[in-house]
Amino acid sequence: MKNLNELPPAFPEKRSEKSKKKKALWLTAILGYGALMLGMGAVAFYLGYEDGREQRSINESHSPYVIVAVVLTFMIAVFAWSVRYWRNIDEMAKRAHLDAFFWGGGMIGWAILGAFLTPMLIFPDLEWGVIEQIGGTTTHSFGMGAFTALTVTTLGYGVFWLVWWAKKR
Amino acid sequence: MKNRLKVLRAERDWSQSDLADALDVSRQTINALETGKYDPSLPLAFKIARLFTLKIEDIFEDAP
Repeated sequence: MKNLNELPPAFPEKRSEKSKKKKALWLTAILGYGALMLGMGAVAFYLGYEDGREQRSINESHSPYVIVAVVLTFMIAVFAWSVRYWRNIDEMAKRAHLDAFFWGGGMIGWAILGAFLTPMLIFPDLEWGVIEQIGGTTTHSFGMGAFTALTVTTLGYGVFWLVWWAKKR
Repeated sequence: MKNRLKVLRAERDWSQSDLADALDVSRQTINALETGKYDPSLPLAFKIARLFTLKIEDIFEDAP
């Protein structure tokens, strides 16, 4: 008969250490995101004020360069945070992300996109005025398309991830 | 896949959180394992077996 009193040591201490680590990770995300939003708001306000005061057009404005710099900084911060996040989650949480990436981001996302892309490829004379109206130039329409693709796949990913977790509860 | 995790944990009077900490996974993972909604990887299955000093097949059963 096995000795059932052989408990692995220091469960509560380990739990408090892990809990602190987890809290710090999410606190970093929330504070970082908050700081970024406030910072971006302040910078946007200042740039808008300056452009207005100097009566600069968008082509003369420094705003697009600042936006690109902010987005790049945000991307680097998100990447760094994601590395820490990935190292801190367990195998089931990783599995949820991998399944969501394949089924939600990949399959569902591409299926929805296919419904829009196929008509564009099959009917060469097809013109969706709305897209050109919003996109403006070809470059901006392309950018808008890429952004839409990213949004749709991210939504598919998110929905699948939520459903995956709901089913495992 | 069926398993005896819940029984083994109850025999030792451990909470799901205790077991989660011992295995370095989340409590949600323990719950999903116990209810058979999630099958562990081979490294996690070995870790579980080592913790309970049992063989993997003494804990997990490949039920159709």
